[in-house]
Amino acid sequence: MIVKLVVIVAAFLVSMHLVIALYSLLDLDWRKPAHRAIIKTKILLAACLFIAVGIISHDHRPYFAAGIGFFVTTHLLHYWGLRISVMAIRWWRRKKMLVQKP
Amino acid sequence: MPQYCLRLTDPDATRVALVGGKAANLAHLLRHGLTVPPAFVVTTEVYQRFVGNLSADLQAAVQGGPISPVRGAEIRQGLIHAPIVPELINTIMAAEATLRAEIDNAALYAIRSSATTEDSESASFAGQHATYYYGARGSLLEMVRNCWASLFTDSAIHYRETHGVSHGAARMAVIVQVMINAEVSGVSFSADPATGKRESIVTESSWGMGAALVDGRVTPDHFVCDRKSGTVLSRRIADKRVMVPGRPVPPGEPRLAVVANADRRRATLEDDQIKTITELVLSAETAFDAPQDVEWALLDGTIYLLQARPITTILADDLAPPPPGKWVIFKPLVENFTEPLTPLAEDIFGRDLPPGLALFQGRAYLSLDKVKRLSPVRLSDVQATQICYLGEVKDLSALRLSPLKLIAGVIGLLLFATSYGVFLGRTRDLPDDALESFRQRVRAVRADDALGPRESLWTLTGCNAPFLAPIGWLPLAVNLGAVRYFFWLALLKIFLKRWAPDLPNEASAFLCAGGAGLKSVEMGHGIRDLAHAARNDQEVLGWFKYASIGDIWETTKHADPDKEFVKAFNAYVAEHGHRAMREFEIAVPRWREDPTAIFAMIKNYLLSADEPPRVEAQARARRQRLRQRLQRSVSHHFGEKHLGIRWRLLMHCVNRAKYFTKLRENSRYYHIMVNEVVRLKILDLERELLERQQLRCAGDAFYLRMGELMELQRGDLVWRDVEQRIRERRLTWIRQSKQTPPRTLGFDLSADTRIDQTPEALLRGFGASPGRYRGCAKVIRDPASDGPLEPGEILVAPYTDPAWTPLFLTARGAVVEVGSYLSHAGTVAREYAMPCVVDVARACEIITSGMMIEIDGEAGTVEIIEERAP
Repeated sequence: MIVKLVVIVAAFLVSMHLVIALYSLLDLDWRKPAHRAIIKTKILLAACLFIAVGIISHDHRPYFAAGIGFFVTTHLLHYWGLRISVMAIRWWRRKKMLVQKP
Repeated sequence: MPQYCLRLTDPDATRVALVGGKAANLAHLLRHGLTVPPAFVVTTEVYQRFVGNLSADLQAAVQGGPISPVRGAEIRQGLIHAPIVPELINTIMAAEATLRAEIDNAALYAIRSSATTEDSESASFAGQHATYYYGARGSLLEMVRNCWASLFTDSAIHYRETHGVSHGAARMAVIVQVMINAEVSGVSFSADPATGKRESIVTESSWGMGAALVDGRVTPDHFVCDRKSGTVLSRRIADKRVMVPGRPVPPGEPRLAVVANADRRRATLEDDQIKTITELVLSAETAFDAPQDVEWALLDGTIYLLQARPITTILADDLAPPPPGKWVIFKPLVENFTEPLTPLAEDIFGRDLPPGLALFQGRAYLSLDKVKRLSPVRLSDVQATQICYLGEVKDLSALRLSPLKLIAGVIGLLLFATSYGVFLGRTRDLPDDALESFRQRVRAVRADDALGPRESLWTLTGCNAPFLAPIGWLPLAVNLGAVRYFFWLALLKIFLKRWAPDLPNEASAFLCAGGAGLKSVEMGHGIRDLAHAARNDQEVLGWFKYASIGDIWETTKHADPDKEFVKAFNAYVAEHGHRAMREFEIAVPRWREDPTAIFAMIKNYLLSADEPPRVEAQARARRQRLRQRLQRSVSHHFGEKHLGIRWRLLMHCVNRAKYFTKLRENSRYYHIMVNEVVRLKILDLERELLERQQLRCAGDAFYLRMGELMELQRGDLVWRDVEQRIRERRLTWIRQSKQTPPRTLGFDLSADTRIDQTPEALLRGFGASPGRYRGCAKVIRDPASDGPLEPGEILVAPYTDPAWTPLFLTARGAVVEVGSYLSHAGTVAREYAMPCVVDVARACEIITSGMMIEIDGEAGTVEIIEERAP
């Protein structure tokens, strides 16, 4: 059970770092040597880790996939969670304002 | 025998029931030998006879009970359009002819309302009734009617109702006063209106007529004089951008004129004039036997008293009641709210604040109730305030854990860490220029006419950013994410305590300072480079030596663009021009619009030091010595010589803390560009409304709400609808800005919480940068006008922002009234390795320039050693 849990957590973390590394392509400027070096390091390291963890947890593929799935869910939660919370705050403020200032 | 018109010299002119409060006070001043412009009064008997001729319906409304806004408008219209009987007209015109005959040039008048209820000790009715300037004989009757009608403006009705004054009891007289084409005008108080102190006489003055001053359109010069000797104790020369010129303005020309650059920062009064005004104010006080608030005008060396009334001070009940619940001022933002936000800024920025944060009197407050509800430990009000405001709790053992909330908190934290992990990871190792792409984003939004101010704010803060938005679009989110700094610093402190207990307490702060790429420090270096460029060019150096700041700006605008200084200056403005003092306030012009602050900083630098002290080199050397000492301390531990794990861990914490401090400061640098765009969009809208005569005066837009501006644009509102609102909100804003915002709302704290400061020899605040230094204090409220700061002096300031950075180059220590460890003052002071104490309440009031003080940046104390430096 512990091994399965470790696989889920590891898959979650390495897939997160792989996505963070891919985001660096978007965040940084490939034309600038300093930025390019950061991007390369990040992607290489994260990709290697992802592959390594994938290979090691070959016998627990469903849990590896579950870790990735869990990461994707939370990442989407971050994006939509942010948007929904902002919308909720606006609604709440508007409602409050309507009550206070008819 | 009815008394319709009276001269101020008439024995009956001091009867309030006959001539109103204002005229009675003027007559009283005249009787005591003070200089008052010649005038006659259209008495309340004229008003009563005029009202007596109105329709029965209107008469009942004027005399009756509560008046609704609609009814008020009907009464005003009735008073403006009802006929005046010929007998009254003839009497008024005859009085005018007599006055005109006495004075050669008297063809123009100031027509002032003088209600029987105003200028009393209980209620001033300041600004509630109409005043008209440059009234000619032909328009006299119309203006008198308008003064009568102003008795029933919405605000006057509301004021009477809230002060328990019956509408029927209010009668209006009108003063017809010879117009004084003032060169300088002002208001003086025979006691400090904010504190009630009787030892000081406070005078505020500005160029031209007093209308701009009393309406709050101009920040006046501020002088405080000693009551006994009349000597000026302190002076603040303000940047007076606009004035109402003391001359008639041709139709179509705006009443508000721009002050010539050379005069903007020039003092409006000489010392002997201030002394004369002080004597006059004291005479007025003697005449009334009570502290007075006196309006005056200076023309050809003569000071005329235009109005005197008892000081009703800044009454708390004039301001809106606080929101229900318990609130504490929001510390991370307090240095950005040293003055209240204007209504428009409050509306734009305050609308989407998360629950638990609210704006009150233009300042941000945090709800203690919500903090207590979310906290995993049970907190008292004092403990919650200590955590929110001071970042510490005195007695940790007194805290009681709430197991249920703790579990919920841990789950919440885990959820946050997992769902925001990608964003936190993306901001973990950003190069210094990673947010530079935000400039293009800002330019694109600025150029997009389809985006209004609110939409621009919404777009640029990243609230509706697409799923794959690059980090360069999200400086606000980056800023919030950089709060991780606290975690790394706390961890570093724990490690240091464990592995290097012999190191001084301030070691963590020293170790975490330094490092290239901090934008605020770069801006300071930019000013230093500009000063060098100026020093290397004799012509430019001459500008700074002999010309005023305004003239230097004019000269630079027209100078050869290939000149080294001009090129460097233009490049500086192009890069940093989005910044300003009080930059969160959108009503404040940015450096790009008004770069006088930059010239003032260069001038301060040139005046205060021929060669910059090598503070940064000294700071670097000090940090290096501390690192070596730390390495020696850690090396004694088991296995450290071979593995160096502790040292690596310590350095990791140091680097992380340094990185996130820099990220926080730099992301703010970019995020503040949003405020410039919002401001420019508002100015576009205001320009359109001014052209369409929907607004009459530049700057008024900031005293409306966004919805009202939109309604004006659509034509749903017109100028008349908003005129009074703007005026009232300006006056409210002035009242708020003169008050120190309460640090807590809804409850009081005991003195031992260090929230309230008492004027003792030892002042307490927060150590934001460690070190001890004893030196001469220099109080600077505005870096553009209160300089120079001599090398070695201790800067004492109400707050600091990037505009203040160059002062840190010459200062040896800093004391700031507001702020926290991560505030601008603390961050820059740590870079320069100078002690800095922030959040020292009323420091600028208690400490005066020239005092010898000792600051302890670790303990967070400021000790007054001597009242005057030897």
